[in-house]
Amino acid sequence: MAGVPEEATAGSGESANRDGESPIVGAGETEPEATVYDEGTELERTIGLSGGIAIGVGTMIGAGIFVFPGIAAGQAGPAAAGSFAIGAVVALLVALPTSELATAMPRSGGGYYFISRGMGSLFGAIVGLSLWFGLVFASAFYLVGFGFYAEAVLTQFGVALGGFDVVVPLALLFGVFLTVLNVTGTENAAKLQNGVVGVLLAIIVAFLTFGGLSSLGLIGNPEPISESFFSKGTFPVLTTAALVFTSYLGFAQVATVAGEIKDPGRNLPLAMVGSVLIVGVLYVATIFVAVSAFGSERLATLGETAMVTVAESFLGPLGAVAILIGGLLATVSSANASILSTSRAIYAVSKDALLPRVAGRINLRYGTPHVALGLAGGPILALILLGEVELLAEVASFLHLVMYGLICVALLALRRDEPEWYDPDFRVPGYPAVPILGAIASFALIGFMRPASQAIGLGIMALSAGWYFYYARDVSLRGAL
Amino acid sequence: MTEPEWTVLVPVQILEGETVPDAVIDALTGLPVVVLGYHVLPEQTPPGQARMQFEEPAQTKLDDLAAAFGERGASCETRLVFTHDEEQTLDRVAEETGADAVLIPNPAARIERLLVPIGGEVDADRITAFVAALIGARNVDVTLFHAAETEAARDAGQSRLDDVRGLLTDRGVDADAVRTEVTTSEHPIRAISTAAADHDAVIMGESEPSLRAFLFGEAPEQVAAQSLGPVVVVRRPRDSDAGDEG
Repeated sequence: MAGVPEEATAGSGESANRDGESPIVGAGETEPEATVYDEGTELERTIGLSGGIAIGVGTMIGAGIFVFPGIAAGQAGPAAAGSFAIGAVVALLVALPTSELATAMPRSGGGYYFISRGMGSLFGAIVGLSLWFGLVFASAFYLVGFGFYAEAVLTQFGVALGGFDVVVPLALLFGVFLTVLNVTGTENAAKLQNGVVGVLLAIIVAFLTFGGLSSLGLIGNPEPISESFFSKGTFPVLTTAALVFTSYLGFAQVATVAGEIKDPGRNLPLAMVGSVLIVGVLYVATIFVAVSAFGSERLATLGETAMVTVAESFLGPLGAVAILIGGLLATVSSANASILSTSRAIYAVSKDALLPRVAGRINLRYGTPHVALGLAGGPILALILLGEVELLAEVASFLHLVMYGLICVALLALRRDEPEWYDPDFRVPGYPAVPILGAIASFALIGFMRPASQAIGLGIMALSAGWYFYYARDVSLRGAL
Repeated sequence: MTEPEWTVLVPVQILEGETVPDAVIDALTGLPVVVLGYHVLPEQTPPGQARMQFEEPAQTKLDDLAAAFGERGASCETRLVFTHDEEQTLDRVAEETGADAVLIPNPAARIERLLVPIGGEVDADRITAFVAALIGARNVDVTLFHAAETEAARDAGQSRLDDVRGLLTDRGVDADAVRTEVTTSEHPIRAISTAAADHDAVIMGESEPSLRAFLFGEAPEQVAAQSLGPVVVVRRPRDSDAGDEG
């Protein structure tokens, strides 16, 4: 642990960063529709249960269904469905402890907030800054996924690309577009996001219905594909689970808006666990249907947009167009949700004086956090230039999994010696087994990643720790509500 | 019906330069007032982040406003809210403070002539009780106004207004200060706004939720926007705290 006083000295002169800024603390009273602070200022809570689920599902669904099926089937064979199931189980094991912590501390910042309050500012800084980059990697991954879909759309409609690879340029273009839109756009896009998620779910359910009927031999004329479930062995199932875990990162994004969720004691657990269950079932079913229709070998050759071809085989051109539209919507919605989460993650650490406070400044003209959005958008564009879907996904997963594991540890630490303020509305069933398994599973999944991803992830964590020791080693956050 | 104490909610977009005109403060003396300073944020911005930056200036402005009430012999409670959803905030604070009326604070130089539109669905008993409480012993003229949709409906409108006038005088408003006006118009809101130009403020009932209200904004907001004067909306009585899910 960092050699700082343990109890809530935050806010006093001692707890300050290099620029002399102290964490802004003061918990406020949580009411169903507002947070009320001592000085009388109130923060309205405006996101309901459906809005929370839309954030969770909207962030997650882009990757698992529209980008990964081809890649995953290539790596794990038909057992790729098992990889997604493993991911869902790990996500659930973490979502439950996260829910408990979020109802105890329904504040912006999510996992970072819980860990900094439960385990102190060193862990907080590592997770908070790593989360920033984790979300940046995830956003870049979604945008590259978008690039593949945009390219497929152009091809579908017969636009000659003249041999150019347009994936990266299109991803860059949209990365810029989304960042600018978030800085300048003041229209309420939340309803739009809910609508997009609704359309996506409808497309996927239709796809699964036709695909399911087809693979049962009820419609179409499927060529029976006989392939053993573990055609590639069991180990690739685990490495693939580590890769596709990016498809489950969204539930913790619900926690980053915990400060804005209505009736958080009820809605936070429902939104987090609910969105993991929804996407988990859809992922497993999608992979199952896709693999039964095409076989994993053929699916693998189709790459990031494999689902377009699969849908075309079930429903003809209409199916292809539906999946193309779905893929565009899903990857954009995932990228946008992640950019917004990044901005919130940066706000949370700058509020706690782990970054200069200027990072949380709000633009006077638009009322938007332009500095934080810039700190999200800039690195995203740089990463898109890498263009490496799998690397981006794994590093994003790595940095999130570290946070997930530590969330479970933070829960164990808080529960072992419950502070007076700790009063969650929701308590994890099966304590302590669930958080212990959640921590082990999170850290174990990291072990199955490729060395390059692990090295990059560890490097980012080391840089975060270095920044903490340089800039903010006197900041004390443990128990500072 | 017992005479309730009428609490008036005065919502002010405190960082957008909105304020409460002195004449309106004068008119509200005698009624309990809650000044709600609020700031609406785009959804990209967590309210807590805005609080970090704007709490101090907002609180200062709100305190200035409260002081202005104090100087003019009125008293008020203040609330400061950062929100994504203006409507939810107004409803919640009105509910919590038990406010029966909400002011849309457009500028006014003086408040000497009130326009009180009486439409089909207005709870006349409630609105006259509020008008009587607001006027108190002051020397203020009241116009009861009805926009009939057809010529044939004018007589019915006039007799409605006469009834309402009776309710007002029963509550102690000087009969000489109350006049009635019936006009024919297919666009009641436009007619009210036109009539409002000859008055200093409008007191009207809350409109029922409808497609029209959804498309064009609620009637009081339309009147406020067209007449440019202050509008006081008398809320429907709330029987319980019926919370809604969003």
